[in-house]
Amino acid sequence: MSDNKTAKQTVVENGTEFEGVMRSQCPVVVSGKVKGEVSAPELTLTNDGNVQGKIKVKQLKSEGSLGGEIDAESVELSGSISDNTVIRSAALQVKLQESGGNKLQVSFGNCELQVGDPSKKSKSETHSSGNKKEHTAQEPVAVN
Amino acid sequence: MADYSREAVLDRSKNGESLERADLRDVVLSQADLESANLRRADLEGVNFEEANLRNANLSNANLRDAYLANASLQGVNLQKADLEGANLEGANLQNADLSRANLEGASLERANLSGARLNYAQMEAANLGGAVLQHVQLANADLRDAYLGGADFTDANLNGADLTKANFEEANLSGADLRDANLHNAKLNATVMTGAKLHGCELDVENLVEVIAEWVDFAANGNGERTPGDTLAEQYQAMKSGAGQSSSGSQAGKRFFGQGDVLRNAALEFGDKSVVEIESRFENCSIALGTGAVLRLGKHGVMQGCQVVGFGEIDIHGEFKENEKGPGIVGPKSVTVRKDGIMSGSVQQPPTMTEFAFEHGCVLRLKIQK
Repeated sequence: MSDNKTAKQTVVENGTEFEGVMRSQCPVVVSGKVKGEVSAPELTLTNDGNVQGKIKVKQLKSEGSLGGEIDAESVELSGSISDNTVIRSAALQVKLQESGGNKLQVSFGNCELQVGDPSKKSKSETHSSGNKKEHTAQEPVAVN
Repeated sequence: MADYSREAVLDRSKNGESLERADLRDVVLSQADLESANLRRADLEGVNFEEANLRNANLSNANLRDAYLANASLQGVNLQKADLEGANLEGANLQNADLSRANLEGASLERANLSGARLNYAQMEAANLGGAVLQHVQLANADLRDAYLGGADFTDANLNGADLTKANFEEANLSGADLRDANLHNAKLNATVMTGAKLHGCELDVENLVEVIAEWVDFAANGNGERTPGDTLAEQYQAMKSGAGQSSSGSQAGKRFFGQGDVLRNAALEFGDKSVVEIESRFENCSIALGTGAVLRLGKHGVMQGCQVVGFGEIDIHGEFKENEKGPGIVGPKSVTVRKDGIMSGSVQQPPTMTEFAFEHGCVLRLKIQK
């Protein structure tokens, strides 16, 4: 926590609209509207935030409206996802709806989610009877 | 040297000015009125907030290590990701506060009121919650290892997936609490009240159930209160672990269980409204129709390959769902949840009312969502 004082962030406040390319070395917080290209270590969209375009970040947390082509290491979503959105991420979390709530945590338009590495977790190959196990590049192969 | 004096802090708060990232270490703020103050990312290490009014304040990401918050009013406060390690919150009022992902390691919350608070993914190892009120609290996936929870009231709390290893629940009230998939290994359950608690998938030491006080306990996967065979809690727990409770429940209307090791190919299956279907088997190229409100739970060992599920049901994926080229694999679901060990490869065609999606951290998705 001692670095809190020196940590900086770029803030696009509610009522501000930005269009173009935004490249930042520090975390970006959007409560306004951004259209274009965003690259930063962290991107946070508040309830009022709206980002549409090409996003490349390590961490993305969105409670607002999000759309476009998104590459991230970790994504936490609520709010809404626009049509024609592609999210590529090592990890994604969409919270379970809390009991008693009527509102959707997140509403998805037509979109595509590519999360994690299926080859690391697939159960179908080991589960299926009669399937031959295939060697992959990572596995040691005996050579005579 | 702190950025502001006590008077300056109170003035700024009164005027609605931000104290974000302020260094306020060593400032005495006991009995201060800081309602709705913005103290986000502020450095408040060791600050004395005794009996202060911090209702609806924003303290997210703040450093509150070893802070003294005894008897403070913290209703509705935002403490997301705050660092409260070693903090004293004895007797504090934290009703409906948001402490998601906060660090409360070794903190004292004795007699605190946490009703309705959100503590999902909170780090609470060795915390003291003795006598605290935690009704309807959200503690899903929280870390409560070695925590002291004696005499605490967890009525209807959500402890789904929480790590409660070695936690001490003596004389605590867990009536109606959701402990599904929680880890209770080596937890002390002396005189713990667990009537109506949901325990499906939880890990515990069966001998400790002897100490539990409960008229009945819910071992059903979907927590709907269905009775599991067995006279004692230990027998019911063993039945749940072996899956016997599920398979024998075929006699119960609307409940179906497909066990591990079975393979079902090219079948067309229809399940009625509100039925519960659990699949630990391998389904290939099957067509499944779900009635309204039906629950389809694909267990950790379950695989559905080339299948299509149609209907306004709730789909809960712990295993692997993989559709073929025909797609979409899931049509018109009320909800789709992919758990941390789950894999979903395919597409979901949402109904007009839109599907409720939930994805746990760690899940794998190759998913197309269609409106």
